[in-house]
Amino acid sequence: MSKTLKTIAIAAAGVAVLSAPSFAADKVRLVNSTKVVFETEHPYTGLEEGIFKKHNLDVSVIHGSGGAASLQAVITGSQDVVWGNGVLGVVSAYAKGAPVRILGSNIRGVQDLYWYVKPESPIKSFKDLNGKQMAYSRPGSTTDLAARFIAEAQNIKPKFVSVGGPSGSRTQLMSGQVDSGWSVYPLNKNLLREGKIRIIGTGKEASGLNGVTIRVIAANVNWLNKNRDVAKRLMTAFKESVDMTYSNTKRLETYAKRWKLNFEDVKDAAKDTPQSIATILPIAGLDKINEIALANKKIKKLLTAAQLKELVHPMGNKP
Amino acid sequence: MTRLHKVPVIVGLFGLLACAVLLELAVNFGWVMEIIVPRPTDTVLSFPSLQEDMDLVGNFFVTLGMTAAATALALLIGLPFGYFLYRREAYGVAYEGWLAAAFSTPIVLLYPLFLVIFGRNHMTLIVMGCIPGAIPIAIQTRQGLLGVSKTLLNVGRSFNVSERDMFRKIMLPSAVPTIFTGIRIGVMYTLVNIVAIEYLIDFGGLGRIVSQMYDNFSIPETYAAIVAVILVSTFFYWGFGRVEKWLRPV
Repeated sequence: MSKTLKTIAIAAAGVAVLSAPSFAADKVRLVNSTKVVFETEHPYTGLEEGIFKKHNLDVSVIHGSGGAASLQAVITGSQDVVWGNGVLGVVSAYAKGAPVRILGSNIRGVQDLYWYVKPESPIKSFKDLNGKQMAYSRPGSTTDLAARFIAEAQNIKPKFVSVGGPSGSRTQLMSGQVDSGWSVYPLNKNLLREGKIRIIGTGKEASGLNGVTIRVIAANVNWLNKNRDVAKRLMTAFKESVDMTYSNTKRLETYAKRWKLNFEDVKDAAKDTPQSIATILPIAGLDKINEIALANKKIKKLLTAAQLKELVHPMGNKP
Repeated sequence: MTRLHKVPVIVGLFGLLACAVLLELAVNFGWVMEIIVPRPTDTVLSFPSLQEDMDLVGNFFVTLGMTAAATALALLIGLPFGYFLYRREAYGVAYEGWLAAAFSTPIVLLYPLFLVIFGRNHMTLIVMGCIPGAIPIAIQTRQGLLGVSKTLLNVGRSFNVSERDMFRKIMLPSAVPTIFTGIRIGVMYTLVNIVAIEYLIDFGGLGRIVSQMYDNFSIPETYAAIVAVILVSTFFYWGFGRVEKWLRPV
């Protein structure tokens, strides 16, 4: 090989090595707002079934613990996208100038929530909670909202009691401190299967919230503006991931294994949380959410139509 | 207040003011995100709305009262137990390590257990606040009494003072600084635990306000509630300083 050819070969190899990063998958830092709950499974489907990879995305997933902390991670820019954050939190943060935008719906309505009692309890349905304690997690949370909408729909006046998360709720119900507990499918379904608790109703009875987007996929707007194409591919990958989670039984087995759940308790996940309410579009009922946010003092005045429009970037597209 | 005492107070307040001005500028220039850390002026201005919406003053006294009750209980347990560990050396040697280990345990994580035992009420807050408070008080009481100078004790004996006077006039004044170090550490841990549990279970007091304001992204109000927690802490720090001075005037 002549000296010239050798030089060209070395130069070509160098160019190839240097240009390699340009072919690397786009990195996305995703925070899953909570864990175990069925809707949080879809990003894992994308990760483990190669859907993100197919869209040239390198997605890393961490967990939040509900509440404002997950969204805070996106606002500060330490994470790019949050999956399944409460819409009220996003609206509230946006109204205060936080750099956050909604890309899609995670779930509409609250039918994955359920309320339960001990088997020997005289309470048979929500109607019997009139004057009794009705549990919810924390003031201003989705469960708080759902409980109040259920009470309104059932025309009852229960005593609302903040009991914390599903495990705290279970402990307080089982030790007789509250009349009812709350949970979210499939948590505590083992107690249901073993006959230790009895369901008195689900979030479906919060009729005022049916069809309204309750949890969302949201992104840091600075990241979004710089990575519009990545965001669009990410949302397409999410859509495919949701479809696969619902159509592939193997995904349910993986889900059960990941969180050490009994398969018996997750096999009906698609019925408990039907895909019709978990599709990424439409992002529905934001006007209603705007009013609820004001009523719950999450915002000081209603967002204008222009602000609501600016807030939503469906599937990563500009409003 | 003497000049010697006035100067540090003025220097301290000046330092605080300087930090506040720097933070104000940092937020104004966009070096710090307003949604993460508010301007100190916004924090101050949010006090009236926080009072109107969340009864800040009422909740201040709830947390203050819970901390006072838990600290009183911690003193009732910690002081005699520390004295017992001093008097019975074998028990002291045997248990001090255990107490130190228990002190470093994050007892706050046991809140579901306490909720079951005591229910979702103030008793849970008081008991969970008292435990991390009593431990340093007991340890420091023992250490304080062990640290009394042999010379002082010998002087007492040479004057033939009674056991009671020996304790009251020699041992206690000598041990007071160490015991009060334990009390100060104890009251701070008591306050931290009470506010943390208020935050976690959304029950009464300033911790609940911090939790709700944070969830609403009402950042100035969140910081205003935190400032109120600092005021509770300052109150106890100042209060126990006065008691210490009263017990040991020199």
